[in-house]
Amino acid sequence: MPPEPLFHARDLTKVYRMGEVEVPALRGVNLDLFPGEFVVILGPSGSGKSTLLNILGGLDAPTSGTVTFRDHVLTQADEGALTQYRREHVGFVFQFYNLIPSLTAVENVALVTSLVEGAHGHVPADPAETLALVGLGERLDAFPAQLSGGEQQRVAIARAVAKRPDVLLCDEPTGALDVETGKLVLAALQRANQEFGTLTVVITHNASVAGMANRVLRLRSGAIIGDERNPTPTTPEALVW
Amino acid sequence: MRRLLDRKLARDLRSHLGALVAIAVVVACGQAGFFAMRTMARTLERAQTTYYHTVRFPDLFATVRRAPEGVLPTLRAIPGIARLEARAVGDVVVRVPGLREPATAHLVGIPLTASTRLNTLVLRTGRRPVPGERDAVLVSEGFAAANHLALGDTLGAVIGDRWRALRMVGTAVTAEFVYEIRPGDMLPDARRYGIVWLDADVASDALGLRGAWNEVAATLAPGADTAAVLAALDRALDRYGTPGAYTRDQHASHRFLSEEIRQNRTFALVLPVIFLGVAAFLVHLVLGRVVAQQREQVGTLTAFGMPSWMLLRHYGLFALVPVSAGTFLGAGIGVWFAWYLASVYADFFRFPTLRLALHPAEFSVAVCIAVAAAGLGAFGALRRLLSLAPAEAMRPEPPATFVHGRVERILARWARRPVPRMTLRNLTHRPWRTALGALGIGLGAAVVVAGTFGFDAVRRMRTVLFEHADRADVTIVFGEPQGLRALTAAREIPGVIAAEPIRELGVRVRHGHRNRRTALVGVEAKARLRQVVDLHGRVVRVPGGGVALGATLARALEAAVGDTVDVEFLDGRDRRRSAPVVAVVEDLAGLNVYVTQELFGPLVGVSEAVSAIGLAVDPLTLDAVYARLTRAPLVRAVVVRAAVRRAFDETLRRNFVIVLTTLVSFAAALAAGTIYNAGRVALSERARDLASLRVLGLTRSEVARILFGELAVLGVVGVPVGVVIGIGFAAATVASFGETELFRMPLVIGWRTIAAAIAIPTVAGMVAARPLRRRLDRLDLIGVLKTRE
Repeated sequence: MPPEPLFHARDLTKVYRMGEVEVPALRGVNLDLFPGEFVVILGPSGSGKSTLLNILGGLDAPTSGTVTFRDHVLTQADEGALTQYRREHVGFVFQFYNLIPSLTAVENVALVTSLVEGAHGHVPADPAETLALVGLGERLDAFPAQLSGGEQQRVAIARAVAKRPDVLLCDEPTGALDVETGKLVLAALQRANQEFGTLTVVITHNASVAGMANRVLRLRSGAIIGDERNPTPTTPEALVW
Repeated sequence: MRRLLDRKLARDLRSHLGALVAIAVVVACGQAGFFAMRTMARTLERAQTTYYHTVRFPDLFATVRRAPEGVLPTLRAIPGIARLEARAVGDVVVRVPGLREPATAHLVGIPLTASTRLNTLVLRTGRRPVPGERDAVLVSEGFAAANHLALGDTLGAVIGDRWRALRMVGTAVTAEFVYEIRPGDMLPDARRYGIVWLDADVASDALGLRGAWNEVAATLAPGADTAAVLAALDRALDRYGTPGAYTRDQHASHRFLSEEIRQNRTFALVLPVIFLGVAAFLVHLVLGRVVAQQREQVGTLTAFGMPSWMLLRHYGLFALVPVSAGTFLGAGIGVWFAWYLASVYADFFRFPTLRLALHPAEFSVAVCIAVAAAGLGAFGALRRLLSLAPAEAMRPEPPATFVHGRVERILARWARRPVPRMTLRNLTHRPWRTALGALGIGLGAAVVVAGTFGFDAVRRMRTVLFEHADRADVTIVFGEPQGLRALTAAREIPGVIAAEPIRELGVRVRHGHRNRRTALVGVEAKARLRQVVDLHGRVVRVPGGGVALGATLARALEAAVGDTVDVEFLDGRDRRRSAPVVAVVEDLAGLNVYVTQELFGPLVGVSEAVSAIGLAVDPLTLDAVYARLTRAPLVRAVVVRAAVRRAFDETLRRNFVIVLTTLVSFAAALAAGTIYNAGRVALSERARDLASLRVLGLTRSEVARILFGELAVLGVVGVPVGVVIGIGFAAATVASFGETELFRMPLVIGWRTIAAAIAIPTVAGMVAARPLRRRLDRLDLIGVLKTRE
């Protein structure tokens, strides 16, 4: 019996209205995502990959179509339910880290873990241990301004995974980083994926990142034009770009 | 280029409308206060000067018990005196149609034949009495208006020994009674105290002064030596029983009026300092944020070669626009408020005309203050703007650098969880801004305390005066001290439950070279209707063996317990006694010397001197008692405590409503303006953080709590500080205005004042936070995923 998909999206369309112009961002996307997958979504700018990620993350609603997360129909949920969904099930990693500058590394992580503590028997990971997992065990008390870009992004990953989400959504996580730092960050993501078995979705326009994924989706002009399985993902260190 | 920049300015202004309106409102409050107070001061001052000039208000005054006409040439011959006039004046009890209690009329004799005089009357309605018209009188406008008297109405009074009906043929005002107040009262009571002018001969007869006078007024010749003229007058009048000649400075009406002008001038100074100070801070806050947000634009424009003066002009105008708008708005409101105040003042200060004295100088000063405030506020932001190299400016601002601060280490115990820590660090990160923000809100509370504590103090004085010191239902005041027969007679009036003698005698007390005119009060230990009480209403026991000085008098004389003072009687018989000071009494009103009843007789040298009688009256017989007293000979005034208290409360209430309305607006503007702008700037600076938190799963309320938590801390810190500032201001006011030789204002701040000082900024702040909440709920969650500030 095939595993139950975590996400089940059918006939997703999204049209943005910019003044009098209608810009289609998604045109009939059908997609199932499974627990434990490391998915890389590739596509040029404007291909609709961010829109797809936002809809999966409960930040945006499609113009038509349905998305279900387990048995929650996200496309029918209200603002409060979507917040609850993000809080309990989703971990986000942003392109520009979006750490709270007035909180230290460990506090940034603790802020999120404290949100889910006790909710539905959730047991989040220890913030300090999670930071150690991404290689920042020595920088717990550093403020974001005292960390390099790569370190900040690893704090952001720790923050996203520490609450043990069901899905990790990463929007261009290496977009603002140099190659070596980017690899460190991807290694941290891969480790979190393997360690916790979290479905990890990374969108990027850097095709070489696809090498470390076990599934690669290609988007163009709002439609999925490729869905490949990669039985032998490489380590981030081996990636070349 | 400039046109394009101006278009950008217009758009920038529009997109910061809320913040700019908040600044404009704060500025408008300060400027409105400035305009209203300056205009009132100018209006009153001009009215005073013009009035004094047209009616020839005298420079010097003196009263005597009784002096013959024959002494006047001697007085007129004193070098330095330009013109001198004498007349008969005195109080009588009058029955006023429509008024239950007896009223007091201050009779002033006027020669009906002479034309040019000092203190000319200004006729308001009707006509002057004509010679030979013995019962025709002029009534002061305020008294007539308060009692709804029409021409032809009559006042009943005992004149001489006969009951007479005095027919009102006209109303008038005069410069010597601009402020018409019964001597010794705290507030005027226009229904029960008024001026009645009548033929000089009739007045002399009525007051038992035929061929004599008891009041003299004089103008000084240019260059005259005032002190020398006063001394000469005193010498000449000494044997006629005078408390001493005095200048305008001690003239009751002039003093009240001048004091009012002085207070208006003070407030015209204080209000702009507070409000424009806060406005400068708000400009600093908002403009600083705009410049930070537009850092890259500035860098780009500079890189394209835009001269820095153009940028300075651009952002300078951004600061100037709300401040100018506030100034114009404030000028408008201020002029309206001055106009309204003038109508209120018209009931207290009776001028022939009280025309608003609008002056362009006020506007020029207001514009200067506004420009200064805008400049002060814009200075920091513009300096930062100029110091930025274009290449650096074009890069986004680096994230704020936080460190583990000292304050945090101290407070870490209370702020273990991330959100309180965030709040704490954001607040301590920019300590000056936090402090000024808290101060801005706090000043709202301070304004309430400073503006309304006076009512608490006056209410306390009212309680002490009317409920502790004076408990007689009715007090009968005699023109001349009476023997105990008067007391017996009073006790025999049907309805009188108790009657107690009051012994007060005009004296001059000297200590070294200092002296004061005051009342010597004989205190009976067992008296219940009139007691000596301290500022808090506690009964004070006056010890025997010497005199007890009121605290104000003791300070004025620089006398302390153990010193010896000279008591000089003012009955013209040149008697003096020395007495040791045995106590200093923290009393409330006036300058007083207290002695025990046992010492009073020997000190005064007469067996009995009852100057007034306090009565406890059966309430059912009040009207009959009033009727008896109105017709009683020798009685100069009948004071009904309940009526005085009622009038007092009414005046207080009316003023309180005006003051409170103004202060509520002022305090609300300060608190709301500060909260809104501090909140807007905090929201703008942290929009990305807050949106990120929303993405991470914080609810709208949780995110709101983070932002409003910071604002709440500003309020929680600021309001108590503001209350303390307000109390400090109140203490300073009491110190500089509170202790006159008429009254001592206690420093009392009621719990209701404190509650209002806390509630008004709090509610205003919460209202101001509402639009912020709406903005917060509309945070762009998707945008933050991509953008970097």
